[in-house]
Amino acid sequence: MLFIAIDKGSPYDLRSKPTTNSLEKLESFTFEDLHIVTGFGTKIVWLWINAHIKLYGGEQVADAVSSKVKDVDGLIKAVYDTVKVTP
Amino acid sequence: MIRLLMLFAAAVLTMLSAPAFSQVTLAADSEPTDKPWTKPATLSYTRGGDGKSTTTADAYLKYTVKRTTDASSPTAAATNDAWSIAGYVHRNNADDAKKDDRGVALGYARLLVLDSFGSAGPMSMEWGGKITFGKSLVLLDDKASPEEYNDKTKEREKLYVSGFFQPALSGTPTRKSDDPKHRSPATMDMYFTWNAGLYSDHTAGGAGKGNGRNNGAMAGLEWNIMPFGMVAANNAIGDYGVAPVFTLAAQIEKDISASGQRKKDTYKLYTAMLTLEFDTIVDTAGSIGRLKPSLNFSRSIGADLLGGRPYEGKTEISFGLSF
Repeated sequence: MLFIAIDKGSPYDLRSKPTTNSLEKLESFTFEDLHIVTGFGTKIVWLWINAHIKLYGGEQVADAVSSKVKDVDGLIKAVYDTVKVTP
Repeated sequence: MIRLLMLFAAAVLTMLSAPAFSQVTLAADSEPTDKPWTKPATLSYTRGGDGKSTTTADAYLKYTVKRTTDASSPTAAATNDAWSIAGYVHRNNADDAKKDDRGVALGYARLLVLDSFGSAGPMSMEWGGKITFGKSLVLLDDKASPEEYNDKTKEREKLYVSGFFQPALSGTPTRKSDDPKHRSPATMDMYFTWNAGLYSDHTAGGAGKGNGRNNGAMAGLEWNIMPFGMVAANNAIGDYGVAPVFTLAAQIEKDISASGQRKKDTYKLYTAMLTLEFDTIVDTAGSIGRLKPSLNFSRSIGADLLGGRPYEGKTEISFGLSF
């Protein structure tokens, strides 16, 4: 889900490129490296995540948190912070 | 009937169960969709050599509540509803460009991202409505000397569809060096925004001249090009980086009907703009701090009914500081 969200916000066709087609490889990129245009691109990424996150056991990420995220690593952390781990 | 009521209740419950987030924004004017570079609110005072002074103000203070609906499946479209209330002031007391709009605006917008565009490039759509109510200075006669204006009650309704599209880039993303001194210039970025819709504009009060309602259709297209990429820090000039943005925009508003003393007309507006957004390169700037200057050059010609602009050619240069 996170990979699809980033692919939707970036003009690169990440899904068909062997060098970038996994989230682990994307982890070192910033949104700028991926040409995710501030405002529109990030809006697409976060809208996709917030709409689908409940299906994966997480909670929607507040604007106050998502607006500070500038890279894929930060995005993964922000999303995983919402997942409640039950003992 | 009962099934319909149950469906409606389920939809309301689904919306209420989704968390809502709110935000307050202040800019020079409203936009149907967010832009990476928003013109900040301005207040200016100019005293000319002839002793005459000019004041201008452009402010749009908006409170928005957003709610994202939970999707039913991993491939279902993502939607987000936003309700907003705003207060605005657009004022200019120069003899040849008088403007005095103030009022409130209520808006609703639904942002939509589909899962069917494949590798065409990032794309989103929005549809919504807006009701504006306030007072406006209306130009009654541009042939008179001095031009004849009248302060009137204005009420406008707008229904629109708008979209964003960023063409796909070939190749693969490349990582920049961590050292800002050795960053290579980024590749070109561009994106398009478009809108289409219907409007209704009603004028009442004042001296009674020029009152009535105009209903019409509108369309607009905007092309934004960033020849050196969108990251100012990648194009260093000393301790600052700069990201130029060229914008070309065209819009048309065409009255379909007119009532009262108003006549049918067509309003076209063309704009060319260059924005230079500077950014401090914090790693090397040291004591420069985080004050970021920006320069905007804009040339526009035409009229805008909903923006309250009579036909005119205008060149504007603005300098902004943000931190």
